[in-house]
Amino acid sequence: MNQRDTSRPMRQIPCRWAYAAVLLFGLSLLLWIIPNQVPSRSFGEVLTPQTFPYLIAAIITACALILFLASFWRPAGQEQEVAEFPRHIFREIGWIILALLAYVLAIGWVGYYLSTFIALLVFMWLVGVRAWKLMLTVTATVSVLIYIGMGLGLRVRFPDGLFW
Amino acid sequence: MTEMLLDAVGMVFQPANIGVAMLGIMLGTILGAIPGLTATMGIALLLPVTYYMDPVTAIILLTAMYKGGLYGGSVTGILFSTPGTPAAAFTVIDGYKMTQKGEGGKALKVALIASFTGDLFANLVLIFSAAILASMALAFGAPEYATLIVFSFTTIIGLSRGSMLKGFIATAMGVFFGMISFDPVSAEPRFAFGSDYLAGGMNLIPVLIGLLAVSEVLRHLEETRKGKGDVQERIDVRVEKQGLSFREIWDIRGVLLRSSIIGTGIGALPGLGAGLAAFMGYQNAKTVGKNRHKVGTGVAEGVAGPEASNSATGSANLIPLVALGIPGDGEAAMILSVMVLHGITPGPRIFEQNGSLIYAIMFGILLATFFNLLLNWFLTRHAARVSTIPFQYVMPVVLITAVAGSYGIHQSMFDVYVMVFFAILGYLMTKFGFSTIALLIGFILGPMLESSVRTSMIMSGGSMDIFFTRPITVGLLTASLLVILWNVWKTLRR
Repeated sequence: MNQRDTSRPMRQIPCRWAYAAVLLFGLSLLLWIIPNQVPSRSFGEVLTPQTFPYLIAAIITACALILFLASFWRPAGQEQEVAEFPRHIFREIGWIILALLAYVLAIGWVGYYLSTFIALLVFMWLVGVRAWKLMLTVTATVSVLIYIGMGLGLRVRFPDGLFW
Repeated sequence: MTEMLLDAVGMVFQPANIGVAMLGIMLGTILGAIPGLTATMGIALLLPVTYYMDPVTAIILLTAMYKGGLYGGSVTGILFSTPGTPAAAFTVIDGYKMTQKGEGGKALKVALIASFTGDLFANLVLIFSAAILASMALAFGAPEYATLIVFSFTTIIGLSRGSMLKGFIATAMGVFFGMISFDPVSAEPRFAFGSDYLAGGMNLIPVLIGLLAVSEVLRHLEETRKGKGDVQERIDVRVEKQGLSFREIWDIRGVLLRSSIIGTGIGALPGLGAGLAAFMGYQNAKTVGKNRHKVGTGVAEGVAGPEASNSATGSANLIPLVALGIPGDGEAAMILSVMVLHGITPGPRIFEQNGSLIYAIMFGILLATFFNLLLNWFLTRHAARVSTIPFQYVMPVVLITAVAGSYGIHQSMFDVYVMVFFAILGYLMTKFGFSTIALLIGFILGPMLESSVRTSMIMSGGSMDIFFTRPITVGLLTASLLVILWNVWKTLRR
């Protein structure tokens, strides 16, 4: 955080947004999730099953609240706390994350080996590799190695998908 | 005892163990030398494969990879000024200056000797102290364990440079994620949202892979996107032609020994980590010894100090893990996950229940330490070549391996979703300055803390006095309070 890479434009996002998100998460734990998702019946214990989760949620909420409020108060000369992301964040990281999510979801539909083959090509394309022969060689080699190493060697049964 | 040690020696000196020790060193060195890959990332990706191995072989492989990876990281640091790990940042200061003076090969050999010394020293301390510490910890009951975990959390929170509150949040979030499972007393599901998968809880290995491997890949991707500055300059360092005489090694013996002691002490305390050890080792080289005024200008002492210290933490962090069941950092957490996968529960009773096995693991780590010295003495030149591989070719393979590894152990897509969730969470946490290691340790120790607190309260009939009337709990709570006050003082002074 806060390490400026002068060679590329960076987008600065105030850390207070992260603190607000954590605060919201803590409050939802306290007000909604714990009362509904943790049994309250005690089996002869002094502490109920909800006591410990409430304690942890209270710590999260209190710390996030302090950080959030403190982010509005800055001593003179001190800059606002920010996190730096690439300016074109979607182009640089977002597509990779989306491709990873799509790959993980596709495994159950089209099967592991086919989706892995396609995902490897897509990942390489997204990170800027354009040498097709190299891409195909790496993709084929990695796919075969996973099949031999994990599929045959360790007997991991990967999903076949819905169409096989 | 003698029988146990002989059994252990017999278990270690198997062809498979010797083979994986060598393989681990080579793989680790290569991974550590590739820009963007680290030893931690490498062993996180290899964890699922170790499920299919004998526990001794598995832990030898992982620790060998870790040792090789640390050295591989130093190779890129010394030759190209791009440290492979945060801990190697202090090695770079003098190491890279030695390279600029045409002494890169010598700097690499100093780093290797220093790693070996630090590792060897910490290993011997581990072998001789873990059983003693474990026998002392046999007196620990639930209240002592609860306060020990609280103490571990407070030292780990010190990892969160910049803000103690962020450390608290990261640890508490880890504890929360660890609570997603069955209630330890009533055995009723909690935080399940009607899902059988969530009711069963999240497995440690996908969490580890997501937090330590994939989130790091995403972070590094920003820096090397589309070929910007990732291919190292091809420089001829002629590493094979630069020897290191015994006299030169003898001259730095003081720095080596002091830094090894510092690294072992820091590694034995949960949460302090290799980064702090490297800093302290570098400070030691700068303040003590006849060449102390030259440190920072490219001298062997400046490489040996941080390198011996940070390598020592790699073995010393197993002391609290083996004796008390408390993992102090990410690497120890990974060793813990292998032990748990194989039904070994670290803690005070480990020497009674699995004595030969534990000594075999320690001897195996010692074996890996020697192989690290022997193999890398001759392989350095190749490690330097590997560091020119562009990250773009490696990153897709890491992502695919992470998915395969997460799926592999329980053959469940839920584990893959968990890995992706923690990868994105880890990336965002790092960006906003939260410690992912604190979250990981909270995830591992949270359930233990909850069980210990609830058992203590049952023992005391609901009175909190149980934590304030026993000498060990009072000592640990006082130590925790001191750590917090020290952090508060540091923050206020800043």
